[in-house]
Amino acid sequence: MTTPPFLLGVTLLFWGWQTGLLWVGVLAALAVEGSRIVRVRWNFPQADLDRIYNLCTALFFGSWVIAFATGEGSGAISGLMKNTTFAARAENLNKGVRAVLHVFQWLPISFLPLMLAQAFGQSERMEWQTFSWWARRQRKRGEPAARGSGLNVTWPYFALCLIAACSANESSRWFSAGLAALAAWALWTRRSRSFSNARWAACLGAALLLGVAVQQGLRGLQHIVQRLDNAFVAGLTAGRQFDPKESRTMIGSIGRVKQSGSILLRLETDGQSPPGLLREASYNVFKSPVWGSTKRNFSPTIPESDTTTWWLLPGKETKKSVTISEYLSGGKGLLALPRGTARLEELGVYNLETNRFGAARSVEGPGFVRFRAAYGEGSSIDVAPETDDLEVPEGERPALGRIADELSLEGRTAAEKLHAVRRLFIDHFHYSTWLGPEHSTGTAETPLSAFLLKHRRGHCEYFATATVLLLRRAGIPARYAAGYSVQEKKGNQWVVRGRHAHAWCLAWIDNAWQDIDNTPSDWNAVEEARAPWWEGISDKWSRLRYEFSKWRWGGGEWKRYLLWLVVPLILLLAARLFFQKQWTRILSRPAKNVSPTAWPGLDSEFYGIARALADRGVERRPGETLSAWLARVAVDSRDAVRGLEPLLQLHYRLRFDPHGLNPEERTGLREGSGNWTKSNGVGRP
Amino acid sequence: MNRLRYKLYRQFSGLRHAIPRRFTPAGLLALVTLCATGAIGIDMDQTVGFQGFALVACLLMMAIMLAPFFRGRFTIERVLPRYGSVGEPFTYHVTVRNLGTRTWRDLELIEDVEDPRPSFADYAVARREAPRGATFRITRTPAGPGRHRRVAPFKPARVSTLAPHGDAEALVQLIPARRGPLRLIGATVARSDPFGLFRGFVRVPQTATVLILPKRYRLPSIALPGTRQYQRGGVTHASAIGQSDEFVSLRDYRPGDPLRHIHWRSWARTGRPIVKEFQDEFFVRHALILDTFASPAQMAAFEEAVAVASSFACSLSTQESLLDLMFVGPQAVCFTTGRGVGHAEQALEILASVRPCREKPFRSLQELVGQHAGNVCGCVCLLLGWDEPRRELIRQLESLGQPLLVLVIAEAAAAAAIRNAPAEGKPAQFHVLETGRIAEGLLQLEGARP
Repeated sequence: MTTPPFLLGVTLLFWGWQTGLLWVGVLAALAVEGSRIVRVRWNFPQADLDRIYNLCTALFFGSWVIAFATGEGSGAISGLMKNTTFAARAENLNKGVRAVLHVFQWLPISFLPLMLAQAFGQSERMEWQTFSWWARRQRKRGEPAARGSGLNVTWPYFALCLIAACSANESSRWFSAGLAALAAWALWTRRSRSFSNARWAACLGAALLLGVAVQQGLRGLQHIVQRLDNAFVAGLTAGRQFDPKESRTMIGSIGRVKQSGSILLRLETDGQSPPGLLREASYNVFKSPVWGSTKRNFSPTIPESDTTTWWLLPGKETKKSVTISEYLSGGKGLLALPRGTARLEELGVYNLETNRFGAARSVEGPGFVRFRAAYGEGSSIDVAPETDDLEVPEGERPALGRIADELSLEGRTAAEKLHAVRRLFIDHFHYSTWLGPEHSTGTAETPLSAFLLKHRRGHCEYFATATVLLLRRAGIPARYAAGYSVQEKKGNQWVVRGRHAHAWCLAWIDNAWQDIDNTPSDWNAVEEARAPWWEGISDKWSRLRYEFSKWRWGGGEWKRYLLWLVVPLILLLAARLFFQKQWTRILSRPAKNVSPTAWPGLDSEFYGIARALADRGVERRPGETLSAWLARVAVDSRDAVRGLEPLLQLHYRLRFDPHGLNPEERTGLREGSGNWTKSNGVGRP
Repeated sequence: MNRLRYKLYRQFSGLRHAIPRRFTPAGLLALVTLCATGAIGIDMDQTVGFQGFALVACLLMMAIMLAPFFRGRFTIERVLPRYGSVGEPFTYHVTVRNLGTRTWRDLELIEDVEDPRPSFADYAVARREAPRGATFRITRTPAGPGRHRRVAPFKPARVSTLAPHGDAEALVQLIPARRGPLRLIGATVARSDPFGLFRGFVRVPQTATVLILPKRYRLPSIALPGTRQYQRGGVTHASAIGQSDEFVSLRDYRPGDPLRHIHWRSWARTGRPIVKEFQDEFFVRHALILDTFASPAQMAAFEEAVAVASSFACSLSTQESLLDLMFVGPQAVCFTTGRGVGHAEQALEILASVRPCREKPFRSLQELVGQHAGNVCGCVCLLLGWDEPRRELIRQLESLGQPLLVLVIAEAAAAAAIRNAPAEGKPAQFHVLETGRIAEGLLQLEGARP
């Protein structure tokens, strides 16, 4: 290794610490730095180096697959393509970026085999063609390889570890200090001797100070950009998950309300009818165009002793149950639940919280959950009505008053009021996802007033908001609920797509909250008609992802089995290295420029004759050819060299003829030499 | 459009040349790290990459800022060989003298080679000639391999400590990448910054030229025909200009004998004109015909053909035979080597500079061969294709009764097509060599006999 002792080990520890893979870092550091203690070196042939690089490439692409097939990354790409709103795309892009960062964080692991091959291999450098399939193909085709000195991967690996550490998010002063220390250590070993150590230190100090200043500058720049961006981003509340704090509606916006056709939830009901609506959150305060909630604090829920059963309404009798599967981005998110849910079973989240408005959220948990919700009519976790639930915004009062007068809601019973409001929306209003210019009024008139009094067309948010406010105007406490409508059956499952996202009204009737959905029932058909032609394909993909998630996040012990699968694989590889490859024990580094060459003909039996002759007292001089030597021997004793001439010819041909000897000639040389040694009374060489 | 493309080409190739010269390997690694951390650190909320980016950026900035402070005065002296060969590494010494009063340590010497980039006019021509879609890289000249490539990449050579007014030697090693003259216009003495990331330069002008000879292959023993032939002019033709001086006898004058051969003293004695008769010289003379009519798409094959021609010029010109190298460049060239007339090096020098001929038709080669075919007793033809004009040339040579060895050098696809072409018109010794597998192809010629 060309790095100074322990630099790479410390860098790997630093990387492990930063990325939360400390133990991996420790093991990798031990393995790499172990090459300074263990003096065994392997002689990797080029083919093996090629294979090791292939393995690294496979690990690298494998890490991409893992990053994008599991956790957040899985939905990122499909979501990016399916979602049509900018905000949803931005969110998916962010998820994709996080997945890519994971790949970066795992880089030192992906390329560890190559580093180990360098550390424990005999050669100082790896040929360039090791790193290029194109160059390898050229080599196979017999084209001369580009000559060069090759690459020692130690320093690039060091840089790789630093880059990987940089892609973590462990923001602390220690990170900067550690990074600077490692950089200084590395630079110290490569410093130019043209400068004194003091000048080197001064330059480094200046560069580090400058670095700190630049960091501060970058932070400042980020703040400025963020402030500029905030106004822009505020309009793009994103994601499939609703926000428990507020819901920004499209009321007053123009353009088409578009939702994706990707499958978000799957329901299994064992033959029962599914709940019509699944709620994620509800809100009580309307400030056009935002629905928000006051006193929205969440409080934790305690699970039963099996840790997967959560009682939301202890003791409530329920008759119905539904099994819901959904993805939780990063293990966090709101759960979509039917109204009146009393108990959640087999829910493997670690922390579950609920709030006063009936929202239940996972704070920490797996990326995918499949749980059974037991629900029934009657009580729910929502708190009883408060004064806010009767509040009508000032700006909407005139229009609401006119409608209320038209319907003459005063003095009627609650049931009559509900019926009158429902008839109004069904008879006189139309569902439309196209928000024309009429929705943006630009005058003192609010968008909701325009909806109620003029154009009378809009999407579910209009209907839900209008219903809530009309009921409040009529004295019935009401809230705005956001969630999904269950309407599509696929096989034995009910699926909920992005475009099934829905808003409706919760009304306090007979001392319980009831779902009131006044959106014209044709909205399903309108949304259905917009299903893209490739939905079948994306559904297949979604199904695959669902099955994989079920397998991955299921309670099985597969991870342990996988480990047991990996162990024999590693043992197999190790055995291959140990028993099939040449390995040598060297006590010191091999001297450079020693290239053992297998000269042909070194196994010639004639050397035995030469040794036998030399033993008789006529030593061969340095640089003397065999024939000259034999001639010299012949001067002293002609008998000694009798019959050697043809053998010598064969020997020369074996050694120097590019075509070598044919098998008969080779046998001839062997036998001739044997006969000579026998007849001259010498043992076999 | 072309002008913009040319500008881009110059910019990019300039950068590709300058970056590895200016940055040390450590600096290049820092540059890569800078780009990577920059990309990772864009979102400062997600990673701490920006901290790494800031650190590396400042180190590089510092290194670059310190580079202009290197001011030394140096002279250099090279001990250059006359020739190098493509693909064969050669080394030479350069003595660097310090004219200043400061001691310098850890200096490097980088040779400056003449800018190989074509002028705009050449570039435009090269683009026009290039086959459509042959290249997708805007930075690459479309003239095919070799033409505008650097002759040889130089690696910085280490200069040991330079005392005031002292000198030190640097060992420069290079592996020539293409044939032709390698023109050195000067050398750069470089010192890296304290961190060893970026080099500061002092340029020392000093021109020199090395001729890079074509690549040569090992040829198997090819039995060229041994039929000796009367060579007019006798052996002196081989060793010096003039007539043979191997005197044999005297005979009566016959009309047409040169006056120089009249033996005046015998005339005086006998009263009738008597001339000297000289030994008729018979020896082997071969022609090596090189096809230079390469289209831009055939440049790789052309380079290989030159390499094969060089291999023949080296191996066949023994003391026993003559070899006529024939090809058409700007002029038709016939150069004879062997028997002391010309040395193999001279043939290689010519081959080092041979360019593809685009100005003349193929017929001019045929005419050239026609002029000299009578003297030779065997031809080795190196062709770049097997089309009608080339077939015509071979037919012409066959009709003269010349033994022929025809080697067609082509890219893999074209080579397969030529192999599968009908055998009609192909001489007995007809071989197709594929670019990239020339050495293998040549080994199969073992014992071939034109």
